[in-house]
Amino acid sequence: MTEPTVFIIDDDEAFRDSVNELVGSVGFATQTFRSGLEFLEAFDPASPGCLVLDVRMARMSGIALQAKLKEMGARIPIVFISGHGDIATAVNAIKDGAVDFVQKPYHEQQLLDAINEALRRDAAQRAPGVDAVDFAARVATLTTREREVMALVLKGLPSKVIAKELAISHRTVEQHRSRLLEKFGVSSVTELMRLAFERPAE
Amino acid sequence: MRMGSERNRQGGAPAREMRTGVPRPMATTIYVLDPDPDERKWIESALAPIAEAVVFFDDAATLLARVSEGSCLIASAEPDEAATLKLVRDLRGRGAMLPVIVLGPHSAFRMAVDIARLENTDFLERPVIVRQLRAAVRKALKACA
Repeated sequence: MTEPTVFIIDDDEAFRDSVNELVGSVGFATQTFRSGLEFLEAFDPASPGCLVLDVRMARMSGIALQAKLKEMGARIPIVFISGHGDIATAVNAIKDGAVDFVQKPYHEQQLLDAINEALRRDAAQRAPGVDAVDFAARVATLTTREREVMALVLKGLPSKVIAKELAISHRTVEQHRSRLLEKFGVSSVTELMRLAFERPAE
Repeated sequence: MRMGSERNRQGGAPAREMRTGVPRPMATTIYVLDPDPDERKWIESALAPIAEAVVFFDDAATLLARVSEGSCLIASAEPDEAATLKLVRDLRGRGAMLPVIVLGPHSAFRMAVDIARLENTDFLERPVIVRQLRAAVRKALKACA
């Protein structure tokens, strides 16, 4: 498998250089780009890695690039960096799937932690073979009730409706739900759905 | 906007006691964690058109013990940022997946990001206006209702 690359995208040269140096110093391969468009030119969704992406850039903002990648179906994880502590922008970027949002001037360790998490996420997304075996093994550990709850959760039904459907309390559903997430080692239903539906057939 | 709850002003602690009636399962019950009487007053009037019941809590411990029936939680960020994060993690740890909306200051940028990284959460920067709070609650209820 190709070695993952940290793609650093910022229109500020001094900043690109400093991040490049930091990330390179811990042994990751890096590539730098002056704009989102320049990155898109070179981007190959098949190559593993993550983005370190500035929010504010001339022409295409980091947020616009995130939206573009999403539209393209590219799930490469993004670590945002911004000199402006705009909370609403940061919260939206995270809810749209960004791994983290780090403020400039950044703490080196915080940025490296975020990059590590992004690369872990990318590797997990790209390991369907392991997931497939693992998924089946984990389904086998579920109780009958948990399986019933999971089937309904995967249909996208809210807990209250599931409770009604199975004639159990809302609270019990939520407990099953959180146990399911625990058993599959995921932190959200979205991730569970990904595991369940997005495993390419082997 | 803030009219109507004037008569609670005198109430002091007793008026801020939480309502103890057990809500109907499908009713929209919004929990609010905020000890400040003035904050409570505007939040309550802001939520009046969209919630059947608003239940106030003074502290995280009481809230954690009674959270199972809430449709949504609005929590004021504590000065200790770690405490607010811990509250949300504790809720999730107990299987309470209700949406949580944290209200906090501009300076709480890092906490806002950490809160956003958890599932079913939102963060609104103070000052929050009525329309904004209602929109956030509606969105939260829609996402999980």
